[in-house]
Amino acid sequence: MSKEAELEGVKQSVVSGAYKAFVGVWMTGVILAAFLYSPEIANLKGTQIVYFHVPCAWLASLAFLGSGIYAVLYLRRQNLELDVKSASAAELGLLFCVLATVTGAVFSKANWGMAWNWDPRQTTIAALLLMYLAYFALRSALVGAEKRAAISGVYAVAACVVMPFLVFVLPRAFESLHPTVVRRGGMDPEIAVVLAASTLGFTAFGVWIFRLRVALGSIALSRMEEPL
Amino acid sequence: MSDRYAVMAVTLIVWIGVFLYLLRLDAMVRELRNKK
Amino acid sequence: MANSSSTWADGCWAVLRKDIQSEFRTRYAFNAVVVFAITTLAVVSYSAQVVGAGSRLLSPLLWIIILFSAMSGLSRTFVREEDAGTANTLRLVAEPTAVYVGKLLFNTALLAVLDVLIVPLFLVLMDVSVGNLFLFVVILITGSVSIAATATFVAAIVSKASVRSALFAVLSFPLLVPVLVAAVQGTEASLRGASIPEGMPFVRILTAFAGAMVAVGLLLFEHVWNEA
Repeated sequence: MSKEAELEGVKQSVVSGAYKAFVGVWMTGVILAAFLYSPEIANLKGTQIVYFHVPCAWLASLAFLGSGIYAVLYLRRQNLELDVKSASAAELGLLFCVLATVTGAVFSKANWGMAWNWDPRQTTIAALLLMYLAYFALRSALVGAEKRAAISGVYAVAACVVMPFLVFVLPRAFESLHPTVVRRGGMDPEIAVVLAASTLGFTAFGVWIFRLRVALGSIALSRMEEPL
Repeated sequence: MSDRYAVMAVTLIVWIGVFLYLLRLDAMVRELRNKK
Repeated sequence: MANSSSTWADGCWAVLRKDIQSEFRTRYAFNAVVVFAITTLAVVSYSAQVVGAGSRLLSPLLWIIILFSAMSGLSRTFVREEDAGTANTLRLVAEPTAVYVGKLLFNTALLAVLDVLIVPLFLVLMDVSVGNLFLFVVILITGSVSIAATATFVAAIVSKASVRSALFAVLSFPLLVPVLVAAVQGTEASLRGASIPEGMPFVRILTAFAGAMVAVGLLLFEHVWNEA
């Protein structure tokens, strides 16, 4: 390797190493802050889980959006790498969606006695979960890389279009058990800070996992194996 | 009260575990990519 | 030489007419849809506890019948083309969007016929009095159009995959969650006699959804249609 390329390689390792170290330290700090610094929220029990639950839901929606965007890009450019990104984003989104649903149910059980009550927000996350699962069911039923990419991409875009209805319209139209603190913006600064920090950390963490997954998918693709 | 600390400890351990695992995956991917 | 807009409309009309004629001869989709609806209605009304029950129970029941009837019949319009081998000819003869709109109109008509047959029967058998008839009808129309639009879109996707009928429901249902929630709530409101302004949020949601689904279908159909 040439001197410049070697230097470039070292620089990249340093940057990516710093990024991961940052994520590690940051999230550790968030966990400590959640338990030691933040006050309880509005007489609810086990509110530390909120600092995990909210970022998961956020990441699930973001991943969905990402999947849809990469799908559109694929449909325009017909580059299978973009399909790898779309599917990887969906995979991550599914993971975070499951986490969000489960933590939400646990919180609901602890505070209101019922794990599931079809409250609008729970309905939303359940529908998102079903959409993700449907996407992967569709992928597994399609044969041929380009066909799978195109058709599942189309579904991903449709799901993205429906998402605003689920996330924004439904909860506003109906009564919800979901804490309305966020809606009215009347949050204690300590809570808001830790929540924002957690969301930021989670996003950085999510991006890291995403890139790892895409790298794996690309390698599989280049070896003509079925990546996803 | 000590409940809170116990949960915190568990959370920290889980997080560190996940983090280290991802570092491992990262290294493995790097290796695969360099082999190519 | 005919200009492109008249050719498009002609193509659309031709597809619709062909589907209707074919349906008249075989009654393939119509049978599936109507038989399902009538059977379900009969089975449900047979139970004395359901008849005369409040709008809170009967409203979801009505939409379950409509939804599942749609699921059992609305995929045929595309699946039939693929199975009969006529799809390729259709691809040559008409523009993609013309095909899509033609099929969409067909499915909407099919669902409209179902509604006209089943809803009065439902109202009579269940001994329901409709508080606000105008609202009831509007919700019915917007809800049905939303279902038809989504079903047509998903039918196109599914016709390219292997495990058709199961996949059709799996893919459609998550997308239809907003429609179901709004339609059920809206119908319930109309049954108990809510005023039109009270019911407007639901009408708006359904109309917006139907519009979005049709738009998404028009934009993306080509990518599905042209995948071999």
